[in-house]
Amino acid sequence: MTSSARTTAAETTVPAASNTPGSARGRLLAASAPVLLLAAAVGVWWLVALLVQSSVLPDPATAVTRLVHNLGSSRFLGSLAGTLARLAVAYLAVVVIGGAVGFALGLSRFWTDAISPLVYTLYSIPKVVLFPLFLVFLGLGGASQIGFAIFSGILPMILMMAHAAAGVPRLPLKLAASLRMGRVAVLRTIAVPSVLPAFTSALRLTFGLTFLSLLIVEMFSGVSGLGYELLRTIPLARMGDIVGMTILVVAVALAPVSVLRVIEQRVNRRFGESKEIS
Amino acid sequence: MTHVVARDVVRTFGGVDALGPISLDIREGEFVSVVGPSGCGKSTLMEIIGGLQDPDAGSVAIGGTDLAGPRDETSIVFQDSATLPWRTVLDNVAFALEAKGVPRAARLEIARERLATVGLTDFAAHYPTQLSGGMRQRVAIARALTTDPDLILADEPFGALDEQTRLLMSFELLRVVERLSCSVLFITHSIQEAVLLSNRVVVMSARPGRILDDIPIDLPLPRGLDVLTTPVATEAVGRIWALIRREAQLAMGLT
Amino acid sequence: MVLMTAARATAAPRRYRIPRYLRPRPRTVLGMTSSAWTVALGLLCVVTLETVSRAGLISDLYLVPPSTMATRAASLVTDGGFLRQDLLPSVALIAVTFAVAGLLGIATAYLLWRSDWCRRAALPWLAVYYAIPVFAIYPCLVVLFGVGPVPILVVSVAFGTVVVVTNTLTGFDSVPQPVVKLARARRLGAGQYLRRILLPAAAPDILAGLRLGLVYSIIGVLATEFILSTHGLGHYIADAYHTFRVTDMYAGILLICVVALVLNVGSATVAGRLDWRRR
Repeated sequence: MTSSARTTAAETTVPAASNTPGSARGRLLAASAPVLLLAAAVGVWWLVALLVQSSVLPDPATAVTRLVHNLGSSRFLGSLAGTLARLAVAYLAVVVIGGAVGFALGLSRFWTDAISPLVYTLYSIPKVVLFPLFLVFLGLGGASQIGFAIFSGILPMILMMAHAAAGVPRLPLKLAASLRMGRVAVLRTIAVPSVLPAFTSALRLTFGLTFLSLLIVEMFSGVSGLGYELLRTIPLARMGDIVGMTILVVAVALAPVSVLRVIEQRVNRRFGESKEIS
Repeated sequence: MTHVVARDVVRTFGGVDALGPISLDIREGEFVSVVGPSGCGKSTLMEIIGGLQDPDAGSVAIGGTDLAGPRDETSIVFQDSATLPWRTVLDNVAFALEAKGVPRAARLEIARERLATVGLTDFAAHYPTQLSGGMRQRVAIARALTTDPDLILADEPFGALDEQTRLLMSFELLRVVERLSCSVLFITHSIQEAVLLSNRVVVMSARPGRILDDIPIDLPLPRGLDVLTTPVATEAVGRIWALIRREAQLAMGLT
Repeated sequence: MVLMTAARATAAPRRYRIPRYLRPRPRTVLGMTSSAWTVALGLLCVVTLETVSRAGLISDLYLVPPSTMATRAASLVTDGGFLRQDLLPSVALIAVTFAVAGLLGIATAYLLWRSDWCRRAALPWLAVYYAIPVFAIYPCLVVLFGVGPVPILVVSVAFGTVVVVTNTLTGFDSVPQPVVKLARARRLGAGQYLRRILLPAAAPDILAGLRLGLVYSIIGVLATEFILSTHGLGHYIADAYHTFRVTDMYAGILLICVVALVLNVGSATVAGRLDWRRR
């Protein structure tokens, strides 16, 4: 795909991006469609809440009001900060350790073939049932939660990076060999740029998995944190609070992922899906 | 003087004979084409001479020295251009010099010069994905020329192009290498292309590839499209075609 | 010919210095293929666990030998109470979740494929969907419907559907242009087009989506049971942990791993059989 910012040569073979409505009005409509859908969903929710007039279904305004109110409480802010800190540590470890291990593994085709079935097996079992092991060995605190979040995120990171590194196209490698390039130069100029698109996709996917796992284990064993706050409100049955917090969780998840998606699209445009050289 | 000497080169893959024994000489400044049915080991031969594969038996010497891996004075033009999509056209052309540690300013200057040689000056800042297949192949040729090679190995460089572009590109290549006076080993499956470009055409058999015939093309340079209608050319094309057809039939079990 | 064989025998081939990154992948390392290494490394893990726990290096409050886990797991599957209270509810919930998520997913994908506006509106949300921890809505649902199968089903379906939608949509988009033109020339109706062209053409991608949908259904059911519920495999493990029944906990985990692996391999086999692209 080409960006409209770059001028396209007259004899290029790249097809114009399909499905793009020609008129400016159409493009505006297309861009606003997701926002309209969201607005419609909120509208329906509000309408139903108004019609039902029940304490178990708060309207959006109530939920947001409760959320703002809760954000004023220092205990809740502490929970939020705790979750964000654990998430940051876990995600950093997933990206750095998982990215490096996966990349290193992928450089050897043989060991990729030998080890990735084991990683995949571990990845394909419902990992949440393994959380008690983390509790047993790391204790009830943040360590077990961070450990489990890393465990959940790092397996797909390793798999995706190993796959990408093992799939570096052969032709550029032949070119490099014919130029008598050393290993480090090949890593820098060919292997790393080749795996960048896969790495940015992995960044986005593993963020979701890491956050999800952290939240689940906070619900299970937390003494603070967003997951704990969510579960704590159940016996109180204060739906306004619960829905408000759920909105907060969604916002915490979507903000970084939106940024990661933009980065991913940029990288894909620049570094291609490496089909050009395969 | 003989430039490339390959003696009894053999290559096997997993117990299957893929190539040879094959012997091939290339004189200095000579343009030699290799044609043969697909799968006959043409590319393998080229990679062995390029030092990218070990022969299982036999030897290769270039310029009087035994080959021990890729050499600096050999440039290879690969089948699918091997452009790096994340680099601009100019940076792609400069890539070979970068690999050899030439400082940035110097390598960009040479790259610009070579880019002009293949007529792509206006596309220096473009990315390969924005170019057509023919233009990408010109980028690869420009890159191969940056290191002042004495030997160019080209593996079906125009294989993916349409007939017209392919002929135009062939002339362009011929024009460039004539000026440089380097030897060329040119792998192709197009008989006409081989006759048009070469001083000699080597015809290979089906797997395991061996040399069936070695046909000199005595036509003056510079050549134009009209040479294909000369008696020398038509006779050569007929001779090669007959050999290849028999080999292809053998390979397909049609005899 | 004689000369050639002689040359082959005498000329010791020179070894070039081909860089490691270009050398072909070795078939064996230390005489073992990669699959043999996979098995060996897997066995090594199990044996290490066994010896470490047998030797008492780790207290049996933390870890029990894999052989003990296996024995207990075997006795669990013949235990009527466990089967009725835990295994059956989970399996039933997974089956229902999978069926609903599969049908809903394919239907949604069809809707998005038919309506350009819906597609534009939904696609950005689908792309970021799995970044949202869907399980966050579980507490709401528990308050609304009480602890029981309904909240579990809703969360698991919400978790499992979207992966079916995205994969199916990929499949629908993969119908080759000539086929589309052919269908147009033959004036196929929408229903016929769906049955004769769209579904068969997209079948490999739909199957891939359904396989993932199954995995997500399993995760959805077990995770919600694990967080808060009164029955099911997930609850069994959580309960065993809370009441310090270490062996039971490990047996339950082992059982789930085995079931998940069997389902995974089974669905891969079925999908492989039905996938025309791999024929």
